[in-house]
Amino acid sequence: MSWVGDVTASAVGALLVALLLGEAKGWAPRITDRMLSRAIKRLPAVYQERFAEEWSAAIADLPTPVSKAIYAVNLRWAAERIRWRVRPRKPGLQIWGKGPGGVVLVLAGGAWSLVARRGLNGLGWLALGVLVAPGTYLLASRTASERAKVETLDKSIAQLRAEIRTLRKQ
Amino acid sequence: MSKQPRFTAQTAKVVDALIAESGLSGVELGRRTGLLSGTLYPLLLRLEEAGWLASVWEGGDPKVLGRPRRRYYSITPTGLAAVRAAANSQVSLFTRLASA
Repeated sequence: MSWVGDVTASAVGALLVALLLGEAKGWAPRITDRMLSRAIKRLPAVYQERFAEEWSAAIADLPTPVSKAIYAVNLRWAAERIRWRVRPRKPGLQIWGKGPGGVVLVLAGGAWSLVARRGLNGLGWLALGVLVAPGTYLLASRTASERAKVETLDKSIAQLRAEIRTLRKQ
Repeated sequence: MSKQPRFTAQTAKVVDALIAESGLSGVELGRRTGLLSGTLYPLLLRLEEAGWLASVWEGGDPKVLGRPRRRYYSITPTGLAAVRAAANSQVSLFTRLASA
């Protein structure tokens, strides 16, 4: 009787696969349209017109609804990557001048890794002191410098307001 | 023109396909290189902005064609020179490693 079970299992499996394929084919055009339009929207404005046409043409060149949907899902990923590459760079944490703020992170990371490896025995404490102290000092001095700039700016604003009041009185 | 792109395996595949046949669309390049569209288009854009590739719209009106226009990519002389230089540096590296 085992062959009856095998045949039944095969028939049910084939039916399920056919159902799933039919469902996928039915949904694929909607997925394609949605993914393509989302991909275009996620692109920086300067590229939207170009890729809207280029990607629509690419999808039109593909043979099956499922392959189109898979292509469109990947285009969504392409849009994110393009968007990420041309993103406006925000000025991050800066420790000195134009130097990267990553220095403190590197120092802290180095200290952390040493402490994690060695534990807080003599060498661990020494590493912590040697690596974190300069970072803390740099951060503190940079903060003081930024605060001084803000204070200067506040003074300028106050002075300008006083001048405006004087001008209004005249 | 932006900074020079890195000469990666994907870059090599795209450039190789375009040296073999110029004026390929994104889909055709994807078929020949095996790269997914998520990898291919950012790479094409990066290479184009670096001046390694140039792209043009397919001639004809989309209304007449009955579909959106394709964009065809080809390698530029600058790109060819850059690729040769990058490939030569890789060759010398591998030669050194082989004789080490």
